[in-house]
Amino acid sequence: MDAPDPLIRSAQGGDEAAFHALFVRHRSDVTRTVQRVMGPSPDVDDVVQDVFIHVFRSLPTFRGDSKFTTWLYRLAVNVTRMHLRRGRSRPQIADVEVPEAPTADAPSDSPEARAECSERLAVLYRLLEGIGEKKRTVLVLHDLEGRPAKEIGELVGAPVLTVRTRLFYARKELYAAIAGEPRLKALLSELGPDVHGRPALGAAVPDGPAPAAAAKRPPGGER
Amino acid sequence: MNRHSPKTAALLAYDADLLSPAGAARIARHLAGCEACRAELAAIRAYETLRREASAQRWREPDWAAMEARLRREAREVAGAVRRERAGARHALWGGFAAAAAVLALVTGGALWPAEAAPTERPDAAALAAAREGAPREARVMLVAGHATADERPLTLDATVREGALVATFPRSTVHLRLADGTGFLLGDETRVTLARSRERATQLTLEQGRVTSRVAPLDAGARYEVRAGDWVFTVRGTRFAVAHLAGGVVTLSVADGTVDVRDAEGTVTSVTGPGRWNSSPDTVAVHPSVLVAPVGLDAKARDWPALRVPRLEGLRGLEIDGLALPIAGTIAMRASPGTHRGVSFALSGAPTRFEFEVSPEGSSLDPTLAGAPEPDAAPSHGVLAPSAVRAVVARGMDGLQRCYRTALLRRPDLTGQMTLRAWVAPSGRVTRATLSATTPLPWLSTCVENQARRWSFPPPGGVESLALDVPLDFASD
Repeated sequence: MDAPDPLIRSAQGGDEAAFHALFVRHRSDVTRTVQRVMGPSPDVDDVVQDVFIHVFRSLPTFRGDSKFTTWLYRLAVNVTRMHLRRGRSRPQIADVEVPEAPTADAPSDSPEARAECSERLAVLYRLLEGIGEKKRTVLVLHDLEGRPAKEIGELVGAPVLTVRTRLFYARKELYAAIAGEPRLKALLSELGPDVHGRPALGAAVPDGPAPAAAAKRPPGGER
Repeated sequence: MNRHSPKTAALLAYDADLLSPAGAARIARHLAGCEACRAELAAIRAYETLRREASAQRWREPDWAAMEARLRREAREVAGAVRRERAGARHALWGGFAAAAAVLALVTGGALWPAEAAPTERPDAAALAAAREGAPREARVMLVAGHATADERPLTLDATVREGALVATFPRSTVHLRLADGTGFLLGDETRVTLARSRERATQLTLEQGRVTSRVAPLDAGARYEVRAGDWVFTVRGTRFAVAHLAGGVVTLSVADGTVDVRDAEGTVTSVTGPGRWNSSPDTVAVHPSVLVAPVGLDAKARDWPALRVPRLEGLRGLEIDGLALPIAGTIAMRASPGTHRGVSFALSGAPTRFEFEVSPEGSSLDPTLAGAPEPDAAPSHGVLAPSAVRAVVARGMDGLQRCYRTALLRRPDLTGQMTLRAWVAPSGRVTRATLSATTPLPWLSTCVENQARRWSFPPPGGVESLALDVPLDFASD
C-alpha cells in the first residue's frame, strides 16, 4: 500500500488548510465524475459540494484500506446516486440543458455542426435517463469516463463480472432506445449498414420507440 | 416478418471486423433480410459516435469561489471537532432523550396522507391588507397535482388566483402558476405563498413556508419580481431561482442563472449570481432547494393547449410525463400539447413501465392501465399496525437514536429541540424511507437518525402500499 499522504494525515489531525488543499487538488476530477453520472443538470454544483462535505466529515475515519482516490470517487458516485434516487421520489421538473458540443477535437466544425452535435448529446443524456441507475452508472463510468471495469467495481461495490454484465445490458437497452429515437434518424440513416437492394435504414426507423430487444445473456467480456 | 432478437455480440464482432470471412459473410447475408438487426447495427454505430462526442464534451466549470466559501465553514467545523476530540474534551453527553411513538391514521383512498390534512394558520389581516396594495395581479393555474387551495378553496386547472390570495399546497402535492407576463412559478408540497403587487411595480410572492421555484420572464424597465421569506427579500428581473423557507425560520436560495439580490431587514443587499447558493444561517449547512425549472410549455405556450387529466393512480410509486416527475397522491390536471406524449410509471418495487399516449385537441384523460396501474380490485388497501407493535419497535430503536444524539453533542453541546420522525413501512414491515420534519443545525444528525430508522423492522402490516408513521422526538441534554 502507498505511504499515507501527508496532506490527508494533516486533515485528519484537524488542519483546516489541509481540507482546503484536498478540495483544490481533487475538485476538477470529482466534478467531472459527478457531471458524467448525473448528466446535464443545474444541481451539479450542489452535488459536488455535498461530496466534499461528506469527504470532510468522513475523512477523520478514513483508515487508508483503499487508495484515497478510490475512496473519494466511490463517495462521489454514491452521493450522486443518492441525489438521483432522491430526485425520483420528490416532485421535480426535468431541466435538460443542452450540453456544450466538444470543441477541442473539432475546431473547424461549423456552428451548425456543433449545434447538431449538442442536440445529439442532449438526446443521448435523455435516453440515458431511461436506463436503470446502476446500469447507467457503470455505462457512464466505463464508456464516457473511460474507467476500467476493475476500478468501476471498486467504486460501485460490485464484482467485475457484475460490472461487465451491467455494462452489456445498459448498452443493449441504449441501442434499442437509440434505434427508436426519431431525433437520431439522420445519424442512424448515415450509419446504417449498406445492404444491396435494401432501403436505407433511416426509412425503417419508426416515429415511436422500437420494441426493445430482449437480451438472453451477456457476452463473456467487454468490447 | 422477422421479429427475432438481434444478437448484439455477433453484430459488435461483425462491425469491428473480428469475424472470419465466412462468418462475416453469414452475418452480411442475415442483415440483408433482417430489419431488426440492421436497426441494431445502426444503433451500435450511432452510439459509438455519440460516445466519442460525449467523451470529448466540455462542461461548465462550477463556481469554485462560492463553493470554497461554503466548504470553509464545514472544514472549520470538522477540523475543530477533530481537535477537540483529540484534546480529550468532555461534554455533557446525554441527559434526557424521550421519544414516544404515535400511529398516524391510516390513509384512505390510497393516498399516503389524508386529503383532509389542512395547512396550518392563515396569514394575519395586516399581511393580507398589505398584499392588496397596488394594481391587481392574477395568476392562472397551469398544473395541479394532488391538492392545493387558494384562500382555502380547492384549486383546479385554469383557476385564477387573485392578488392577496393565500395559496397552500398539501403533502405530496404541487401546483404551477403562470402570470400574464409569462413568469411561471412552481410550489413544492406543504408550501404557503401569498401573491401580491407593490406600488413599485414589483410582483411579490410572500413565502411563509415551503419551496417556490421561479422562472422569471425578462421584465420591462422598472418592473421587478420579488420573493419575500422571513426577513429577506429576493429581487430579480429575469432569472431562474428557488427559495426555500424551512422550519426554524432558515431561508435558503439556489440560483440557476442570472443574479438575485438578497435584501435583509436592515436593507443590506447581497447579490447571488447563478449558479450560486445563499443561506440565511451561515453557521449551519442547510438544505438548499433544487432549481427545478418548468418546461417552456408550462410557462409560455400552454395557455390554449387542451387539458390532460390523470386519475389517482393506485399501486404505483411515481409518474413522469414528458420528463416531468409528478406526485401521484391525488389526481393531476395540466395543460398538454395535442399529440403523442411519453410517460414512465414506477411500480412500488421501482420497476419502470414506459408508455405513450395521445392528447386530443379536445383534451384527454390518461388510462391508468396504460400506465401500468394495477386493476382496482387488485389493489387492496393499506395494512394495519397495532400501536403496541409500533411502540415496541421504536423502543428497541432508541439506542441507535441516542447514539446519534450523543455524537451530535460532541460537535454542538447546546443542541436541543423537538421534531417528528416520519417513517414509511412497506407491506413487508421494512422501513423504506424515513425523514425528519425539520432541519437541524447539524445535517449529520438528521442523516444519522434517518439511517437508524431505516433499520427498524415492524411486523408485516400487509396491503400494497407503504404505511406512514409519525414518531415525535425530543432531543434534550441536562
